[in-house]
Amino acid sequence: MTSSRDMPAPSTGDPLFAKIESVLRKGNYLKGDDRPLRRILDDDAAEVARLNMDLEAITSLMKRLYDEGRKGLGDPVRVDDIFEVSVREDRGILACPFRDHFPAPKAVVEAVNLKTGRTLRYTILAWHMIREHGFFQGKGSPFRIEPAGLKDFLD
Amino acid sequence: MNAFLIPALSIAGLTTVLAIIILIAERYLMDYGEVDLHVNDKTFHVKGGNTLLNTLKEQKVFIPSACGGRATCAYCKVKAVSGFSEVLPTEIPLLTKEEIEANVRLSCQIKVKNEAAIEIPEELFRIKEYRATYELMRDLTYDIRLFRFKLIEPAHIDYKAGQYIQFRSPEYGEVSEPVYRAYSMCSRCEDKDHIELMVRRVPEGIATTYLFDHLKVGEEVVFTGPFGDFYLRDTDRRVICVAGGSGMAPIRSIMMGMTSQEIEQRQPIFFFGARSRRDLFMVEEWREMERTNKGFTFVPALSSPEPDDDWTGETGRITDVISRHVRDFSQCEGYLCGSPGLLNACVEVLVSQGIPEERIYYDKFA
Amino acid sequence: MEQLGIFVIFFASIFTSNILLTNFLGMCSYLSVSRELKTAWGLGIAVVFVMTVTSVANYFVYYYLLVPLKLEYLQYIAFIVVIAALVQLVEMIVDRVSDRLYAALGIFLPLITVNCAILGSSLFLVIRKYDLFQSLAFGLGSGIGWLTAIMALAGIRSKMARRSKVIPALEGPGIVLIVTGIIALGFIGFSGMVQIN
Repeated sequence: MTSSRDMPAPSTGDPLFAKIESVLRKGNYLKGDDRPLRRILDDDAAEVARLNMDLEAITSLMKRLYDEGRKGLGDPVRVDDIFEVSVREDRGILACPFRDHFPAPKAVVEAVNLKTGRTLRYTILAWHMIREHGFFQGKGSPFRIEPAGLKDFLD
Repeated sequence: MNAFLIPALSIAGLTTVLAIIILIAERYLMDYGEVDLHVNDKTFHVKGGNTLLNTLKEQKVFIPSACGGRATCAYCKVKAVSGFSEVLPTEIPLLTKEEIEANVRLSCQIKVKNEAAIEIPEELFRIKEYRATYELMRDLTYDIRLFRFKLIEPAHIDYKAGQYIQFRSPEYGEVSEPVYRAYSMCSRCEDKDHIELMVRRVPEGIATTYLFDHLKVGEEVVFTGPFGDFYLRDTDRRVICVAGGSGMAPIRSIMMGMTSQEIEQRQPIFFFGARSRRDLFMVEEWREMERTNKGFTFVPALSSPEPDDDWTGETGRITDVISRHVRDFSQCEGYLCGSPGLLNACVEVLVSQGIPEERIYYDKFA
Repeated sequence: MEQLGIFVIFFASIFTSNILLTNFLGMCSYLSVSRELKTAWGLGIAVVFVMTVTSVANYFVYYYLLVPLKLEYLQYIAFIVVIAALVQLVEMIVDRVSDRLYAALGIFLPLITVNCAILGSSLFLVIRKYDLFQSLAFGLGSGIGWLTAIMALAGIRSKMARRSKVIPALEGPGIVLIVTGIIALGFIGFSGMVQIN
């Protein structure tokens, strides 16, 4: 093993995991990022730990913003007097690439932190993958959320 | 010489024997031969070994599917009467206990390996795969476009106003696999050799990016259909339609299909919700319909009009506007088309005003 | 070597002469598939299957093909070829016989062809001069031993994922190998029970 983070080569690795990785690549969730999936997950997990983030609480808040924001039917909704959220919904569902049978509604949440002026934009599928799989998406993916950015937004 | 020949030949021999065993085994084990698949009262002779969904597709019987066989959307449920394995681990998360007991299965997961029988709704037999050419388009708003297609094969389509098709968006650019997306038809169903779709551009959306940015006039497209339980019911109740954005599509199709007597009798009223004036479209067309049909009313409502919109019409959320315009909900039917949030809010309002849920219709393909 | 009882060989290959914990074979898939109990079980069962069948098959190939022709030195090539072929066959049989089993195991079977523990068990039975039934017991026992080892590690890793704070330098392969070593030490404690060489 060459570095402390590199696991054995993919050919002897977990075949289920390899399949998920190929689905993610095809779906452009790993766009522009050549690192193996295991590396991406580990690096982001390390970042989350370094920043002392409580992912459970953070993703619960993201879900609450979605639930409240939906009521606006496209118009912005004020939540907790701190956030202004608008949710754009389209018809259809997206299958979660991690094969956990989660049907993600097609929704994009755009939230503004009124105190700091920062904006956070995420899809429900992206939220699900962060919460259940620790997957923040590849560095070039249009819906990637940097853990640090997520933390800054909520402060 | 022998010292080389004998080892080489023995290993070659061993490998050959094993290869032959594998070939024989494959012939015998993996060839399920032709089996009889009974679907309702029809019987198909099919090649065994494929999933039920794909096997039926080859026989031109299209079971609805939104997730491409990944055991996620649960649209492909069928009643498996006999001839299939026990419930698979991939199906369990998506089937209720009652469904499992009733032999309801995911057709994208079960394989046809021997004689089998299933039951499907009869309407599914009418679903076909169509080839068509992209004829023209019309921009309706900054992000909604109308697409018109001329059918090639089959040359005619039979559908009820309000139904939708599953459009096949092929591989293109960085997209390596085709996907299917549902769009309601907005054209009049009497025009049997064309279909028109209203499509709203989705940011980073696979199919809408293809439709808006890659598809060229004259190119061929593929779609299956017609699908859906969303169509005008044959009653004499008042018709209340509510839509937002591209949800106008099936409503337009339904309204264009109503005769003047029907409109006179059923007094349809169409509430269209948008944010500001730039989200409104086809207003003139709807006003024209009001002029030629006194029984029809068109109520556009803007939830957040811009100052220079010069808007004098209804404002506020569409659900509030509805209550202001209809007094007697008791003999009404609801026809809704829009985002999941809009549907939920409207159902709530209509139910609270006295319309029973069974009389509120909408496409559940969210 | 004395004639060892079949049950002795069987139990010894699970506990005291565990092909993974004592002989350190089959480590790659062991390390990568041991994150979750479910996948570990899937791979482990497939290994038991294949190891048993290939041990017996290679017994015949060695004693009835290679030895008569004095080609014992070709055992490495011959055994690999047999293993690859048998894995293919097992995959087809499972697919045919049970959709459920195939859905659970099927994806792991190709992975097993390159598992060195499978080759290892065939080579060992030759070195230790086991007869047919001893080979069967040995193959089955080694498979179960491998399964036991990967299940133990998967269980520990699942618990660790939730509760332990591992120092960054040891995260990943580092701590997994240390844990494996500790499990191996634990298994040495069994050696008082029964000994085979």
